[in-house]
Amino acid sequence: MNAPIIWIVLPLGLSGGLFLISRWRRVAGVMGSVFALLLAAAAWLLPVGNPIQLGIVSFELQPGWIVFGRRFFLENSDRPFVILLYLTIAFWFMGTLSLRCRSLLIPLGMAISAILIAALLVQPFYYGFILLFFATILSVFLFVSEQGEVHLGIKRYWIFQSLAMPLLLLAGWLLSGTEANPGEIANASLIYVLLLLGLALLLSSFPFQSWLPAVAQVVSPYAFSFVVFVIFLSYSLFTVAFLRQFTWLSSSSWILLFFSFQGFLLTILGGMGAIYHRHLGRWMGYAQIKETGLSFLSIGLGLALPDQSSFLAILFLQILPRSIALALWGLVGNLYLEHGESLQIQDLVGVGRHYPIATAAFFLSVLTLVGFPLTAAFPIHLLIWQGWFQNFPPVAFAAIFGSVGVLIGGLRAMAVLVRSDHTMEQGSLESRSQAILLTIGSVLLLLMGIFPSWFLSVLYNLGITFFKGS
Amino acid sequence: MNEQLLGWIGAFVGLTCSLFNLLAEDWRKRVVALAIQAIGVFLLCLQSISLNLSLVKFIEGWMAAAILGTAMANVGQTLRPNPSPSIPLASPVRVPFSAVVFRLATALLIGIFLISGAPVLMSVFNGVRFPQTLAILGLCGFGLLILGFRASTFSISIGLITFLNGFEILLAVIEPSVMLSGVMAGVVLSIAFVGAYGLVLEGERKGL
Repeated sequence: MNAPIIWIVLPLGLSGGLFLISRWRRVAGVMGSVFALLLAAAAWLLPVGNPIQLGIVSFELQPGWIVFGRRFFLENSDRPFVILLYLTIAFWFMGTLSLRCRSLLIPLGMAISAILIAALLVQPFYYGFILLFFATILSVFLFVSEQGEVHLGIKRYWIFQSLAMPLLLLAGWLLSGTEANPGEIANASLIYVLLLLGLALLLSSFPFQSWLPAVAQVVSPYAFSFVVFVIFLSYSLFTVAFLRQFTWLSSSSWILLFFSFQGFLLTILGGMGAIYHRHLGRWMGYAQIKETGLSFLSIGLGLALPDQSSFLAILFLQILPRSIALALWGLVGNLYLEHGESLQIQDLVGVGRHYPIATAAFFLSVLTLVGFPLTAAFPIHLLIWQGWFQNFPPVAFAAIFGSVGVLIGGLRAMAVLVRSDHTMEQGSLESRSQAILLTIGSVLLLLMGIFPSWFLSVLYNLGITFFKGS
Repeated sequence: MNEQLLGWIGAFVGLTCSLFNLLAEDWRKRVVALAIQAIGVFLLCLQSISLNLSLVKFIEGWMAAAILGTAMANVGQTLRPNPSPSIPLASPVRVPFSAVVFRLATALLIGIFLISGAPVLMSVFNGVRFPQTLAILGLCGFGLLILGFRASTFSISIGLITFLNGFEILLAVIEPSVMLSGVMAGVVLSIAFVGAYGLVLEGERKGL
């Protein structure tokens, strides 16, 4: 049996089945969550390339699978990514059980995850950029199906990602013929131009970040939070793994400057945008820009250090707190939308009083996203801030400014949400399933904040395993 | 026929059709131009890869044109209870003469870029012929212009397909593999499908 078939082909087949039953929302939600959990458990329990004994049956998972001369190769070092990806999508799929609207999130989410894993496993590695493009196209389908039209923000996202693919594919092709140092490479400058422009488009960095608040304003918050989390996590890890294949490239001053400068700009832009928002969705878009900037800063500093893996593992530390915070925000945003049909700040006056648990969860997700002390993301933010203070303090100040900006925006929204409105009827509108899911997410965030060593060490080891192998 | 002549015909057809797509407003003519552009791409790819692989580009281009054309026809006609008159989404919109002149001026800039960029491209990628170089740069340039000038879902689909057609010609020369040809056909068709899906949803929203 081949490992790529289990974690790529099987989920793709499952996504087709989930699409057929997507009419029955709860059934699809339960099935999707169970399958995603099973895939995560299988990635956790089944080592690749070693004999596995199940009772009287003994078998071995082969790491490689060849398709038309191209190879998908899943090593044990890739398993942490597979585990965490399927674990987080299971969490998101469970959340759909409490939503009232129909969505293609579950079938498309399963397919997107399978394609993103395939992108990380394909060899030659630069073919992964084409697979990332297909994941993007599916996310565009998801956005369009949620919105009912191709909004300008969605068009921008579609165009940027479509233009990124050929540039990066070409850069990858040029790089594949070079193993030496850049001084000996005739087309080094062309490679840099293609690569940096392609990465700027792919990772939605400046000036291609504008689609984030625009899309967040129009699509369902839950679908948006899912797509931005899964896509940005996979793109960041894929980019780092791609760059580290070429030693001269990953330690190149141009690459380090790109990530550091973009991280600096994105954290500032995200923070400033979040302060002045008038729409809860746009606030999330700006918060995501700031989060992208923070990931850039981790990558920039990680690639500059002699022991890259130890700092790059921070990307793995961010996964759980960020995913739970984004999922909670998405769920809360959808609840507010069901109530008022708009996330405009003036339409949300007093809405928080009808959704007390949801509003508390929203507040907790705001604090987590900004890395507030005693929340799950605080130790991670602190590591990045400290690292940059020791190297180049202005960048650390920019990162802190970004967090403060997002916090101010979140507090502005909170002030409106909990404002007393006598014209509205009193009483909680949350259903039992919504209250349970929101409580579980909030308790998880609180536990991770109070006892960070419980999860940080596990995630850090997973990150080290991934980056040592990549 | 002379191989080089076929290359020049392909470059002429590809560039003319992409320029037409930049300037024209009637969606029917633009779909036809997109289909003819696929013939140009086929002729240019034929210079470097086998007939079988080149035919993939031809079929993929025609399929993309058919998908977009069918979607536009549905938007204009069948989705509404009363098929006439056609709704604004599908009907040609008159653009001011100054806009056409401006688009032509930017197309001229692309022409200058072709002349200055072609030798550079030929020196970087060995084996790329001059007509192919003109088509690669021209299609990518006109594709970007279409994306820049027009915001409709239909135009964005055409712009992206045009840009990718230019890129496909380059890939056909530097990496003539069956897998890559198939995957790139999938990329172009997925863009056409997203465009068609968006058009139909927009049509449903505006027409019904």
